[in-house]
Amino acid sequence: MLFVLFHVGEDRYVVDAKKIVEVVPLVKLSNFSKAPDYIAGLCNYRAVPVPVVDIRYLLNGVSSEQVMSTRIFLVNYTGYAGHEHILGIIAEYATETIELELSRFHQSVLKSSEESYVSNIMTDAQGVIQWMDIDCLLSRRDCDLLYGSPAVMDK
Amino acid sequence: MSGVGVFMDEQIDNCWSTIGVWSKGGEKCPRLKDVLHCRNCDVYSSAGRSLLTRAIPLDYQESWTTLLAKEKVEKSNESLSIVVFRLGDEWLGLPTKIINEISEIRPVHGIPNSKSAVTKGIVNVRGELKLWMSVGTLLSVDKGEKFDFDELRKSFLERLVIIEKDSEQFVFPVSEIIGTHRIWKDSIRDVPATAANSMYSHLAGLFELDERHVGLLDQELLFNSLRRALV
Repeated sequence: MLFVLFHVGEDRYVVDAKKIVEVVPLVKLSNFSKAPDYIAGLCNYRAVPVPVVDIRYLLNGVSSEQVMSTRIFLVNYTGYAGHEHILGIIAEYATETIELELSRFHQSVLKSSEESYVSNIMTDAQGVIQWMDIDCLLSRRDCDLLYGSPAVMDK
Repeated sequence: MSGVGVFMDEQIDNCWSTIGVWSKGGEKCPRLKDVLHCRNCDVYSSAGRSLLTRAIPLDYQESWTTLLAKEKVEKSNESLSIVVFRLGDEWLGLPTKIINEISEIRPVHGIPNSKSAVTKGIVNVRGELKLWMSVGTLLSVDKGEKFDFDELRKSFLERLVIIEKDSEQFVFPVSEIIGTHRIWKDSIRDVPATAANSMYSHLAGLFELDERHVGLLDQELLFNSLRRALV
């Protein structure tokens, strides 16, 4: 299966390449004042405002480095109500794709509610690679905040 | 911003173009003896990697921000594979699926009493006799005046194109084969209505390739005209 590799600080993570719509450089974001801290801002993606998550901030509480290898993944995010949205993710060292066999992954030992976005873990010569499940990245509350609650959308 | 993000362009020592393999004479890097080529040298590869860890240039970020904000123009994903060739001064194309073979020039044997200017004769292609037609004469294309090649080069580039449709085959020479290209269907434009010479009337459309206009030949019309030229 094809994955896209990136770093969060020193740690390596992968996301399913099929979830990714586009990988773009770190563009300028507009402020999104009411959003949680880990939302770096809004990206104007093809005339649609898309919230962008700074994944390093979400995980480690530190903002991502503003360098060339830090890029934005525009991913297909399925919210809790089952609607598909575009979500931006700031990822560091987003420079390569990697082909990994599913059998090499182990179920994550840590299955706490906070870390549920890391579902599977594998190791290679350079250490641990964690598979990040994009759909579990946002809490239900934050998902409602960013994309509107399902009750509002159904009206 | 901290740590790795402080690399600036000026700080990169481009030793590969001053003393390395891309230098123009002068002193040579002592490392070259061991690594043979700059691309095997860790100085070169780490400089390459530092390009990724440098700060984002402001104009680069600006241009991407504007580019990304633009609405995406949906293109139809229907495409055509076209063999592009040069015939005298004209660049023309034919759908790849009707091209049976492209081969080197072979001797043509004239047909006695043939009055057609288009039918040049018959040619032996691996034991099969095929009709050698001049598409250049049919379309009244100028003979490569714009391309000032010497005779040797000309004969070196020339090829025979064998086209086939419904088991009907024709062979014609072209001045040069440019290659096979995939063309989006919506990038093919209509032929100007005012263009009324023999070549334009055989075109199904025009498209651009490497800043040149290429005429896409209408295969039905071409086969019809070639068939008519036989009589």
